[in-house]
Amino acid sequence: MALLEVRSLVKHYPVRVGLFSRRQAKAVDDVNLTVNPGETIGIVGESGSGKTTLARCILRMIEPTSGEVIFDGVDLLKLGQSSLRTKRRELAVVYQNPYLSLSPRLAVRDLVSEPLVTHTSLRGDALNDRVVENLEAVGLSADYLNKRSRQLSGGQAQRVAIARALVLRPKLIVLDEPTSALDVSVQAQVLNLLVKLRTELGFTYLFISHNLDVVQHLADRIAVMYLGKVVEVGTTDQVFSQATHPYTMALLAATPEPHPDRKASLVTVQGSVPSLTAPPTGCHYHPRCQWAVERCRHEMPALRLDEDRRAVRCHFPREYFQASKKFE
Amino acid sequence: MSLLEVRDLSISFSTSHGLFRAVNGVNLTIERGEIFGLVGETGCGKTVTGLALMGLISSTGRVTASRLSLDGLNLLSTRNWQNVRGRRISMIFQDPAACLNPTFTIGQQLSHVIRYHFHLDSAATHHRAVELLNDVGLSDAAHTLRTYPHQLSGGMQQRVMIALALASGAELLIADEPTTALDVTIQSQILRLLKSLRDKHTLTIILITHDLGVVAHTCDRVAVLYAGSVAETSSTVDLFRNPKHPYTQGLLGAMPRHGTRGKPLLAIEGSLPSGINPSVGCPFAARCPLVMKICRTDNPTLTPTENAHAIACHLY
Repeated sequence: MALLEVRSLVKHYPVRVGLFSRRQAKAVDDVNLTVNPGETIGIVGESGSGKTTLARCILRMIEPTSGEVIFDGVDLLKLGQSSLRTKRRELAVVYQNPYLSLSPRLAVRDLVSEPLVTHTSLRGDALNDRVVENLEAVGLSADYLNKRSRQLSGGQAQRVAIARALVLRPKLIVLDEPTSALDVSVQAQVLNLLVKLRTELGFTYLFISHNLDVVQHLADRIAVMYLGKVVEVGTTDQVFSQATHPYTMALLAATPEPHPDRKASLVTVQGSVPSLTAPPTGCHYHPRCQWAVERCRHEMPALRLDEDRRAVRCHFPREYFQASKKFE
Repeated sequence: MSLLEVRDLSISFSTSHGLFRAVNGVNLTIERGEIFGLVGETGCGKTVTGLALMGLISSTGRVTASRLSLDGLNLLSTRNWQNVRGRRISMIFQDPAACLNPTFTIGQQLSHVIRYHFHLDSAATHHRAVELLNDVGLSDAAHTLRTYPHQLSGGMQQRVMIALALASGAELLIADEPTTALDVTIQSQILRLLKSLRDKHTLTIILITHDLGVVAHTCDRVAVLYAGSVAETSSTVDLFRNPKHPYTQGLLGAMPRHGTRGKPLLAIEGSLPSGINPSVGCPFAARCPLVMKICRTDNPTLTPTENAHAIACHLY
């Protein structure tokens, strides 16, 4: 059974345009997603694609407009406050900037013990031992117990945030751009740590990032989002070596690889991400797509599942794929 | 003659904790018409180096060098920076929204710069502004001139910043992380624009970045900075094919890319040394996997090897 199943999730924000009229910004628009236990799902997209809003809806930090979030057999959106609180110990989150997500007033000891104090009856020495044990799991020693976040480097602070997330052994950890604020050498340390923890403790990750290279390092499957909609889902290898949606192909082409010999790709994107309050008609991607035809301007393609269990939201996915192969 | 020559550039700041050495004896030679990458992690001194070339180091900072010359002009003895800044060298920054004035239209900001540098009448100024916006790929120039910065997307704002930098007719553009705040698809558009400006207008560009991927796709030559010193410099192709300095090798190994899944990344353990009271010896010694006895006592100098490749490491 799936650990997490997101069904037709929608989050609309009312936005004022002008003095009297209001429009809906469709931050997350009809998203379906399945996460199996032990699996790492990567969610990729540019700013404004709705990846963070999706995560916040799943954690119910914001209330979605409609849809279902079935976690471990229970619809989180139907839970009352007290049962939600109990359920929340099975979910954890790590944010991009540890200096903002960790309270500057609390020492590392208190930061890591807070979830334990809230959800368990551990106190005193037993609590302390558990905190040290978890700090060691993320590569920090007991020397850090009395430090505050500002005394730590970016990599150390992010390790504390990870320790805080895993201290209750949650079933699902949402990682929202956990390495985007870090330098490459430190990013590598944190990515290695996340892989190690997954192997040792069997965590399921929902890994959100704008960086395809970082996502492919961790993810088993990848969902690509564009303007609030999922446009392609597949295994990491499928998405990387045979992307079928033109947007995924463009993202891959735009990601600069640290290799000077790579030929310039013929897949290009014009323009920028359109406004969420006035998305283009038809396929949201058509104004930027080099292969768009008349049908794309009028008709929003459905997310179609193909024989390899990969899903793509495009009228002519195979044709594009073949076309791009021909160019190479 | 090279366009820019930097010899033994050192920059330090006096702080309440003592003297902070941001840059220690950097040597750079920038040829006309090339895109030169200055790459390094946070705190390696890449931005202050750029600021020093613009004469923008604040009064708490001290800049010393044995030579700092732009096309024969000695920047060290420059009293009148107004004749250099903008006119000869321009700079753009990471966050275009923070650099543009929110209360003036793009047209007002652009014509201000044009009129400051060239004494043109209003019709000619307008004509030049439209031309500049077209050069940076903003096709609906007449409309863009009437907009305010907040009405433009991040990519368009950065294009406007580039137009402003070129408006003065500068020959050297220092681009400090120009695409870091932008999405990848927009990043590739801006990088392509920088390359085409170099080709069409024979602009020389110093591209400051932390992203080796950006360097690989854009730069002709590159210098890798670590803790305020050049660790390695060479042509871009040579650097990626044949990285010599353990720090460069570490940086490349630390980057996740297609095919690294399931394998551990080469993490550089530890963190950057402090710029206050730096230890003697090689600044990378404490984190280097190949550290030798001599590294802890002697600071290696940048030594040229074949193919205009130079490395500051005792191994070579």
